[in-house]
Amino acid sequence: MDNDNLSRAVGRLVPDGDMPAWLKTRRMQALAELSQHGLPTTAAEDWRYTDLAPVIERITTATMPRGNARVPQLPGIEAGAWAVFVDGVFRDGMSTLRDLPGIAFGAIGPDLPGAGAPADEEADGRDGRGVQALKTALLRNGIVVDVKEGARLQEPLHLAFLHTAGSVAQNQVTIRLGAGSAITVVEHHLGDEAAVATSTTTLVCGPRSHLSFIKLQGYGDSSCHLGSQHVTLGADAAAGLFHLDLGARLARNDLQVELQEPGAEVDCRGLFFADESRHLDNHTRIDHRAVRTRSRETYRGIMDGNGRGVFNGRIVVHPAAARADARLTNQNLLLSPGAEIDTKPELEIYADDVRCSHGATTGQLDRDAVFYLRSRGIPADEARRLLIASFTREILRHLPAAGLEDQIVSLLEPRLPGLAAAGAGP
Amino acid sequence: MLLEIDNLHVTVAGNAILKGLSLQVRAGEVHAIMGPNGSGKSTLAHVLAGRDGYEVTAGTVTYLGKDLLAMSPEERAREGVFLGFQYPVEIPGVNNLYLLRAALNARRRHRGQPEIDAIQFMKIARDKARLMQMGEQFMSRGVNEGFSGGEKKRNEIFQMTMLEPQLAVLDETDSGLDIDALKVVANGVNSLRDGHRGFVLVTHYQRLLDHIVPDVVHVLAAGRIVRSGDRLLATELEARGYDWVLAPA
Ligand SMILES: Nc1ncnc2c1ncn2[C@@H]1O[C@H](COP(=O)(O)OP(=O)(O)OP(=O)(O)O)[C@@H](O)[C@H]1O
Ligand SMILES: [Mg+2]
Repeated sequence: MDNDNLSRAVGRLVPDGDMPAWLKTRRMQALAELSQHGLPTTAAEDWRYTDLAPVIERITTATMPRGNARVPQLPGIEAGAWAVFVDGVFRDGMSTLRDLPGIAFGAIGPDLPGAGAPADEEADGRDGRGVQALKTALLRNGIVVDVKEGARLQEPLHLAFLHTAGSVAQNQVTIRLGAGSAITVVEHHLGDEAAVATSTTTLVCGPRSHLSFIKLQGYGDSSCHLGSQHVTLGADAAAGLFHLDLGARLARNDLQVELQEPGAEVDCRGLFFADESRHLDNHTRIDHRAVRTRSRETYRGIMDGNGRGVFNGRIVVHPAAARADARLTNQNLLLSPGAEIDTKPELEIYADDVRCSHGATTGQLDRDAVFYLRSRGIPADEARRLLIASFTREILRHLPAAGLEDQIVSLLEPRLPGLAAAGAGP
Repeated sequence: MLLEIDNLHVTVAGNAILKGLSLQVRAGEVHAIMGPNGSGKSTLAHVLAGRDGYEVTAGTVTYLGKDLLAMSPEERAREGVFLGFQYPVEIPGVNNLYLLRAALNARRRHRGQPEIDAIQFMKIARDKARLMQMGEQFMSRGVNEGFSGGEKKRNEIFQMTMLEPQLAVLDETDSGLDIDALKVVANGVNSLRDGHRGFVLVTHYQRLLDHIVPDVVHVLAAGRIVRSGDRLLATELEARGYDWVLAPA
């Protein structure tokens, strides 16, 4: 019953006029799936701490976006080219990615990875069956970017997922890195009053390629967000991934990394800041599927006010992954009595001769450090700010964005005051 | 009077640590406080700097005529009180010089002076760092981040020479210093002695007092000052230990 309502509401949100036939078919299947199973509930292990009721509520009360709605501005970053989406629709006219040498791009088709086939069991596992169906049902279009073999892009590619007030929309991008190529991708999620913004990013890294990927989640305080990234790495390919999870009322991100071939390695980092009554859930999964694969993962969480953080990091070392090397840590700061974190780092090892470790810590601001700063004349609230900034800087200094660090830090400054200043010189 | 402590009683986690401590420091004086481990020296230093977790159950502390205990730690600092920590805290991610400039400007604003600009600040910082024989690489790191024990102590004195306090309480700043570093630290302290500032030096070793000559030496035992004397008292303690002072008369 409720699921029928949800499915009908989703169906009403997407105009199906300008859509290719294959996508129409997929959408119909997804809507059927949604009316049958609905979205995952907290009874599902992977959704135990994240109740999607606000998502359902926003979808059932949303209306089709108006044509004249205000579009959020692009962040003021000079370097690089942009691929711009407004409410899930790629806007060629606003985009500049044609300027990037070494790439080609086109529209997603039915046969491409990440196109959201409802029978895609792996994607189901990642997102939860219902979430995958929701994303497919909302899909309008998407792009595939190919980085040519050996092309090493100097300039970053920015993906801007912009949302107007009240919008419910899916953003879909696939990027394939040719052998020996290199690119930096920055995904900007913006919309002060977006209702439900979802995204699927598929990153396929060819042999010896190098990917730097940053996701900046900065939706407004009333928005819901469900995002996922699926990264596969070929032989000796390397990826540095960073998730900055700062906005939205409720946001869930699912990151899956597959170290598919020998010598592949990944460095994953994340920072989530759940203040006020924000709920931020980060689920990650790294699969070691070949010999000599290496993973490093560090997520840091800050919870304040009545904020709630969820971290679930899973590393699976498959039988074929002898000599795998994996390290996973999660460190959290609880700044107020009302704040909460549920953290679970998990390691599953089915191979021999591996080096793996995992752990999580949760604590409060170091009282000795607060006193030390105050004893030098720094006011108590400023001392707290500095220490929070220092906790975040520790991880931000690993941003995999050659040359963009300062600009990204300045984008974060309004959310994390004192960030830029504390780490800099006098 | 710069500092007047009268009959101070302090409990920590329900245990009485200071039990009627009195001490007077006049402007320009250097007082050394010695005493056995656990006698309450760091407790006294922390109470003077305003750390929480200490309950003052009786007594008063008056600093330049004001009730010191009524002030927050940051107010005390801005009023010119400086604590050199026995165990300086590492704060990675907060730049050493950033902290110092913020501290200096907090003090200047408090006195109605204009803030110091970065260039002027750097010039002073370089001069003082040279005095403390600290390399630039120490100054640009996080606060005490990865510093050795001795480097941390040197950094405390570097901060003190930058902030130019009216009253400096140095808690075992000499512990863990090699012989050369001890001289450097002593130089830092002596550079501030101008006949107006006061110093309270907590130390276990008479050695420090060869370089910073105290006006008065006190023995703190079981939460009280049990004996005071001139610098010869320190020499005597070094030779004979504490037993003879602590033994009931
Ligand atoms: N938080 C605390 N809880 C309980 N007891 C405490 C606490 N802090 C200090 N004490 C006790 O107070 C007493 C005095 O400690 P303090 O650190 O002032 O000694 P000290 O004279 O500085 O010693 P040292 O020469 O070893 O530095 C000790 O017995 C110590 O165990
Ligand atoms: Mg002590």
